Amino acid sequence: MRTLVAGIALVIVAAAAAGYWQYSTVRPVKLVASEYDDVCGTLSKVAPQDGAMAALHARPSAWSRQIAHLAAGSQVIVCEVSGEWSGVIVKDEACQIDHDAGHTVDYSGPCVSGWIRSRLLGLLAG
Amino acid sequence: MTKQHALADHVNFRKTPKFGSNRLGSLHLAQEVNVTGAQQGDRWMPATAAIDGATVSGFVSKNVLRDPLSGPREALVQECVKQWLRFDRGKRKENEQPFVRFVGEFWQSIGMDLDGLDRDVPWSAAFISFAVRTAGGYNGFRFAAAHSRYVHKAIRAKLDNASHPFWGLKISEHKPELGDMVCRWRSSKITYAHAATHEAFQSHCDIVVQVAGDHVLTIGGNVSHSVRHTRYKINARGFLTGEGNVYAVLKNNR
Repeated sequence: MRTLVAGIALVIVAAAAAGYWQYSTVRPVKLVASEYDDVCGTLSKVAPQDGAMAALHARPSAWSRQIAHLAAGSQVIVCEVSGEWSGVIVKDEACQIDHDAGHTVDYSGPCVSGWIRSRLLGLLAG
Repeated sequence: MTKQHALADHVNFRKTPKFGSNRLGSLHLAQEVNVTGAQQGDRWMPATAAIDGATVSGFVSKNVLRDPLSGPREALVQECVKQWLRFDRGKRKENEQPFVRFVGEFWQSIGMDLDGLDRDVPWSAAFISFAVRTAGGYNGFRFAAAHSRYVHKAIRAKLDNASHPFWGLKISEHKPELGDMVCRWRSSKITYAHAATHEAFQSHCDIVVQVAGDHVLTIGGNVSHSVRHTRYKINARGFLTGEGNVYAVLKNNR
């Protein structure tokens, strides 16, 4: 009986830790350099089906922290894709994307960056 | 007099019909030459060509010449090469003057109010639209800021057996030729079947300007921030291998 309780407690603690990790950690958007493609070569607009705001997450996971809510029509620069998620930079005039790095680096600002479900994006250019 | 074009870049144009230190200059890729007489020796064709702005008479090897293509197809290849040369064979970048302005010209070809100063707006599809529009003879082409729009339309045209300037084919169905387009996916894998049913996905296409033994050479825009070459491998039968995320080839029907 004691073993069973301990096991259940362990599972609960592990789940809570995993949940906390999912919620609290950040997966930076990467500026991916490749032999063929320039970094962040797609421009999209936020196009939620219900016209409401779309959540920008800290990681490519629905369980991660929401960084921002983007209005329909907001422009984002798509830098990478992970499953159903796109790693984006919210377009501003001075996002300082290092197009010439020649190697993959984490984007560190100044523009807001994060993860959005790819199905909430509409292709504009690229 | 017969019109021909250089098969490669930096083709030697010689004073006399032989190898040696008799170079008058070099021809750029696809440059036009006028063959003026019969072959001499095992390969040498008498010809005139523009060298450093002047028309010069000399000799060029027949092994590095090709026949002209159809009007629109030749015009498309020539336009790509012209832009490539304008960007100093891909050595000059989009953020330098006056090349920024050239990118602005590409945007204007599709009616977009962009001047090339915003480096965060990818202009590769605008380049394709600019080249196709400037070449002329491609009525019905889907001019767009995103490659996937015209790729989808070309594939639909092929599947529906409809008349269209380009047909989108699987890479196993068509050997790439001059004036065709090679299309590859970006970030997330795309198949030919997906492109046939969707018109919004991340892609990139380049235009074939040279077909060699084991590869095709293309010219595209926003390639390493310039108008630049890319090599795509072909197999012994002349088909694209798919290396480099290639998922379709757009056959030029003009």
